[in-house]
Amino acid sequence: MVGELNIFEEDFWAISKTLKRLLDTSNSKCVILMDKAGQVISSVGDTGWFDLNTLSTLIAANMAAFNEIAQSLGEKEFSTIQQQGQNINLYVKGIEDKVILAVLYDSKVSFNLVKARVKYAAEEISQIMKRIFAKLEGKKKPAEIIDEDFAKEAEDELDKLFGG
Amino acid sequence: MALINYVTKEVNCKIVYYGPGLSGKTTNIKYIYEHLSPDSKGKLVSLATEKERTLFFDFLPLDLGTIKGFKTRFHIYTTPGQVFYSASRKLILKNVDGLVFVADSQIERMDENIESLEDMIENLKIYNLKVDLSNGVPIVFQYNKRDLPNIAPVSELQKALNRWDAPYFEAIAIKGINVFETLKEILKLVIRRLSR
Repeated sequence: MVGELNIFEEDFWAISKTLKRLLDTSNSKCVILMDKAGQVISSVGDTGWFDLNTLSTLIAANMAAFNEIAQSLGEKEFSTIQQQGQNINLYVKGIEDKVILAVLYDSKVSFNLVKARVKYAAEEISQIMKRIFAKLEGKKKPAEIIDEDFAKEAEDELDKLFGG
Repeated sequence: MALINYVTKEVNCKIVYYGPGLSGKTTNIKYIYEHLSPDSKGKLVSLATEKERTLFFDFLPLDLGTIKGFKTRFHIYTTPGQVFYSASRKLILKNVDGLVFVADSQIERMDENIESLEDMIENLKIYNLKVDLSNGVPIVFQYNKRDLPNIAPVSELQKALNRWDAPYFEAIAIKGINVFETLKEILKLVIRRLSR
């Protein structure tokens, strides 16, 4: 069924703390956590020099495509992707088949350092995500914010945007 | 799966345009991109072949603005329609919140429409999803290319495709006719579905 991934305060700050520590200890430029559809859950570091939503969508699509490749080769998954540019490198890791962690770092920074720090952060995020999904389990009512009033207001905005 | 962040105050939903090859999915999304105000849209990404056939997907982020304090954003995707891109279509459906099925109204394309719809239903099953207006993924049908000479009557298209009695629009996407109406309807259905 259609579900929602609801991120509340306590979990969000736990995620942000982990991402910030990863950013600092790996000398990265920025760290992005997204869901499997590429929707950004949280990001830290400098993300002002690119389009965050577009980049996350493309990373998630790439990850999904690589997992298909893995399966067609009889592998369960390719859990990480590493891309090297002249100035920027990208390291991506899937976590628990639920979220994706992406790290952009300077090509002068050691890959092994980034890899080790990401592994540590991924374990923490995995625990947080398990907590979030456990909370959502059995929860029939979607997020309280999306209520009748929200729907009405959104419909008015849609009429304004597209003509009503 | 809609993503709702209570701290950054954001609601994100995913919409997918599905349908057979050359039915006009990319034409829809391009028209939307070209005619929306710059404040409401992000960059249009098209992963296409040299001949402008969709290879993986098109992607357009659309901002609705702030609703009850929450920045509300829709991520709009098209799938590649050509039969041999089945794996890509399957991937794009992951976490989908709403569907637009763009059918080609031409009589000779009826089989492709049906085949594509069945392909969509099968691909949704992989993610334990089903089309259902009240308790599943909402859908809107768009019967495109209504300006062409050899087209099937809407009643036939409805009978062959729309088993859910979902909303439908007759469209000429290349001229923008009923393009916004189709999108508006699916966005309303997705919001209503979330609000229940």
